[in-house]
Amino acid sequence: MAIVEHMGIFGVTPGTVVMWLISLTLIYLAISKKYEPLLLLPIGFGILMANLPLTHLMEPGEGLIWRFYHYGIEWEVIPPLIFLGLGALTDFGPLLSQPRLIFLGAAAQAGVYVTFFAATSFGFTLEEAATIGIIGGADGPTTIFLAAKLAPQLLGAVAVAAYSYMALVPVIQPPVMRLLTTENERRIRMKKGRKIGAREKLYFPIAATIVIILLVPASAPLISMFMLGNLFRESKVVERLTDVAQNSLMNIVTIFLGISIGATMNAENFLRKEVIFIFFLGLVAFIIGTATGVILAKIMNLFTSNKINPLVGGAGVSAVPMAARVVQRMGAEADKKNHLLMFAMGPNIAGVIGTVIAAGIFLTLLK
Amino acid sequence: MDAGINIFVNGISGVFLGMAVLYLTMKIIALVAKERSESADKDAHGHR
Repeated sequence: MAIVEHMGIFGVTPGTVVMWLISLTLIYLAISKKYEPLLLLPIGFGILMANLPLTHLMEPGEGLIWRFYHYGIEWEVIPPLIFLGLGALTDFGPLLSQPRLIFLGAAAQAGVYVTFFAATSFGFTLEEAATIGIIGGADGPTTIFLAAKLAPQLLGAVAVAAYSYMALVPVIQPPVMRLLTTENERRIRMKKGRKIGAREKLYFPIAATIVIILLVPASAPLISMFMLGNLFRESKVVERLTDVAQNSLMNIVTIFLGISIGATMNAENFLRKEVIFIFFLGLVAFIIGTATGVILAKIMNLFTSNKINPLVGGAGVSAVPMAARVVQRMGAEADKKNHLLMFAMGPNIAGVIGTVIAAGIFLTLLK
Repeated sequence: MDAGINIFVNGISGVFLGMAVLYLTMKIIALVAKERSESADKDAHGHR
């Protein structure tokens, strides 16, 4: 019977079965453990869809998910739209009240570049190494943006690695931070920064857009949308746009982002030994980023009487606001009355900007 | 390898340069905003 020949069941291979298991694991982690469910759930389902035989969902030019992927990610539409929403959700107040904390967000990017260098010595091309290194920035949309441009064949693996490690921030960061700080350092209470007025918050997104894009033009798609979202928020005259950027638009593009990323992970692409290296190197990037942020905070303390709690440096790896919450929790473990959350939000937001700059530099030098 | 070292050095220094410029930008914004609000206060007092 002709219909039997067209049944997908005859196209099942051991590779597709392994991919189903990976898909089900991600769906399980998203639902039961609540690990980044907004992303891991659609990614998990996207993997399942892409690994069902004979569906042609990712067939170039005709597949449904291929269209999402092509117009959403290859055309660089979705990551900037996510950044628009992130900007609308971001309060730059903590950073503006303590500008020196911006350097902790820069220090954490060392993880990106050290891992980039390590990946080149593992035999990855420069483009692939940059894509792997950026995982250390702990910023999903930036990782996807860079991967789509430099190494699309690694897109699925790096995106899953980035979001998995972001979900695992409360597990990965504390041992590193504990190892590099003493009990007394963790107890440091930081002085409150000055109060930030509405005018200052309004000027910042405009000035930052000009400055960053003049320095690194390749970062324009992400940074301009990020700052536009923030300008919506701080202007207080377009509440409808702010609301859309923060909620409905962000939710819609998240669905398409997740499915598209998941669908790039077919057995052929994903079940390779390089993927194990990618996950390993991504973890290394995260650890180094955390460590360098903490170490820079300790170095800064040598030159100032207004001490920084070094834990705050660990928040320099974006992962907003998870990394800042980890800092708050660890500070409170050392001293119950020590509230570090708002201080940690400064480097946390700086980390987002730092990762975008790092990605822009990669694009400038490699494209 | 040389290209890798080149990107590594340029990357780290580029990120710190970017952040340093942004740091200065924040300082300038603070000054401008302060001046503007002071002059706005003066105007408000002058009109009374």
